[in-house]
Amino acid sequence: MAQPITFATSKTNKTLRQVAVYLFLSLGAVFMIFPFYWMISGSFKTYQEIVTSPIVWIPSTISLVNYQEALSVAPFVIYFQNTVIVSVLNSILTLLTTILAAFAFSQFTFKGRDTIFALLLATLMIPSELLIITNYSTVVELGRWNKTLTDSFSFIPRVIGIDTYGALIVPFIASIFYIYLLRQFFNQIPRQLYLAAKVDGCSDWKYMWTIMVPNSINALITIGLFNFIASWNAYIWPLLVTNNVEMRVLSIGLRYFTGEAGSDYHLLMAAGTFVVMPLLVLYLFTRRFIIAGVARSGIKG
Amino acid sequence: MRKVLTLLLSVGLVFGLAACAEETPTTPVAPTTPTTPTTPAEPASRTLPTGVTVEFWHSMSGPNGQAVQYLVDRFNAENEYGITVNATYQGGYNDAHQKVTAALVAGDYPDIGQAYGNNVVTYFPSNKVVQLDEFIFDPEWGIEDFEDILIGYRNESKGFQDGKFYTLPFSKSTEVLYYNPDFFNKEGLWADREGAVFTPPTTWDELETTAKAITAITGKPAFGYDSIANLFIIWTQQNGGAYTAPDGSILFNNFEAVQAVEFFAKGVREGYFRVAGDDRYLSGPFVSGDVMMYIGSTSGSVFNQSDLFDYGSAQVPMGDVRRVIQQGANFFMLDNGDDRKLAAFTFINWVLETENTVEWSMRSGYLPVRESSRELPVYKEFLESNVNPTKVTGASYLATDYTYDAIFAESFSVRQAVDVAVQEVLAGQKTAAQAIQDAYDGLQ
Repeated sequence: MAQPITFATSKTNKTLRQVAVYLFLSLGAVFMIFPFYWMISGSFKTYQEIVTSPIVWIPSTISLVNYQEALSVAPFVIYFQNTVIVSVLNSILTLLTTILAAFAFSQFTFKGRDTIFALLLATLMIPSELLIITNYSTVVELGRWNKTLTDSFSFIPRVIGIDTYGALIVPFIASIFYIYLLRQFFNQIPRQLYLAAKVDGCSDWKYMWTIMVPNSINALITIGLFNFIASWNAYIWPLLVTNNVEMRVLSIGLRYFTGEAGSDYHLLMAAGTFVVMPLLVLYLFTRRFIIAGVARSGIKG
Repeated sequence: MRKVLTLLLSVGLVFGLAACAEETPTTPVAPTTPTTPTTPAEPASRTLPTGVTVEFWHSMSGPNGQAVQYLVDRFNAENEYGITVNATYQGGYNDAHQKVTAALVAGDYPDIGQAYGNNVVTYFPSNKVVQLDEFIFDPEWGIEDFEDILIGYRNESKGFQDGKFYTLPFSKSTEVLYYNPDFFNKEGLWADREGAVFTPPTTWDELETTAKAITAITGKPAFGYDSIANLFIIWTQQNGGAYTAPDGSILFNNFEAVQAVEFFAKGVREGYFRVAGDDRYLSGPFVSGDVMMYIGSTSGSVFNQSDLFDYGSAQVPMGDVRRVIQQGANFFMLDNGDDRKLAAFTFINWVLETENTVEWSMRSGYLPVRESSRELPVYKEFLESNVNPTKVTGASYLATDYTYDAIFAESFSVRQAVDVAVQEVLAGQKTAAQAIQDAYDGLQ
């Protein structure tokens, strides 16, 4: 893949090639790292330093003033909690539905399987923006039913409707794209394994959890992380379904630094840094799985 | 496989078409002729039960958001009817517009919103937008001394097709000329004019001469305009031309507009005028000392705080006609029943009271909406203290100087069209006359 075509005859040639490859990779690395550098260094600059030209590359002082000020603008601690809760639950539930659906589509033969799958794939063609208002209406309506039930039977909790975790999580716990991705992955596992397991009296349920899932761990982690990032970054939907500050998420907090006539870039960069940091750490820990998962499923994100 | 593919495509097509045939809710397009909400017959005298709660969705973040909360808290504590206003930040104007649109469809919408008139027009088909005349002129609950509210604001609030009030002024701003006094004093450029103190340009000619003189020293463009659309709208009208009318007619295909655009384009070609470009605002280049003068919104003055100098502000240079933009969002009300309507109006009415609109102005980036606020001692003191020189300039315009975009559903598209037209001229793709004619034809 990344291996250059071999036509080297001497050692010098090989070294030269190595240098070229590393130079190219270093350039790519700088290109990727630069936005992060800009954000993090910006978080320490003053407003003056950030807007000034020629560009100030290194902040004159390293102080946490911007962080303190940014944190005081909005209740970021609450936002952080909510974002973590929503993203974690969302990812777990998405993985669950994805595993179940992908398993069914790849291992079972039933009437209309291909038709249903094709129908599901067809929904991928509908841009998600078109569904926003429909989804919003659904959530509000479900919220009304939920409220009626809660009012009559106090033991029923409020799980859906405006300002609930349900509204933030449930609409996104099934993803056709991930089902498709995982189905392809499951399809690569030899069918004989399934038949052999059957002969040994292994149930479908057990087979799924003990053979399929452990064998697809790279793909699952990739899906989980992609989903986690998408959930972490979501803005319009969380804004739509929440009115209460206590139920809002980090991405809405970032909006506070932009007015109608400009932005407080120094504060925005500070807020951006602490919003992105958890994702970066998560990515660093799981990158081994992601590279393997992406390479094998042929998906490039 | 082939069968699956065919099926997939056909299913996709059906879905796609169905989606097209239905509404496209993300970018709501209002009907060309907005249906006027019907006014239900009201009882002669209104009564307001105590303890009504109303929802207020706004787009004010940062210090402006804190100013909203301050007002709301005070109203909740002080009002004699036990009204509770629940203020919620709903993102910028575009985000809030999306949210209100969705909320109207779902039937779970606020009582008070904050928006530009052209967005409010798109809510008309829901029949929930409250026509405010009956409240404004109500003998008991109405707005006291309504004529005291700046005429431009009043006209804008009823600038709808039926000439009725559907909005009331709230976060109002205008444009001023920001300049860097240090530079002018240091260079001694204007020592010949009124001693050693710089007087900012007041006419187009002065603007041009000043900009050229600055560029000769710095080698960089000296003057910029934040909003290209405002440049077109204001300079065309300052030059005696027309822009649009409330019935939606497009009037800008005139010689005055061509002249105005050509005036700016010439400056850009010769390197003494510039646009904000990707940064969208010139506050950055201004603060870092690249640009010495620019025209921008009064609400953006906080972004002009530089470590190097204290900025100055002046009225925008004027042409043959005195014109300056009146911009910023307004209150509108949605119908959640009579009690909530009256409670919502009571809150708006309170915010519009002289002391409160002054309080709002002092705490936010916006201007007070009443003539009498300029006479209020607190406000006079505030202006004299020079905490924010922009406010002084903003308050110094005559009520008759103001002009605003006529309100109709497509008024924003017109703004975008003239913006594109000016950009095309600046890029050298078209002549001013050609670009304006093309924009005009495109909108017809």
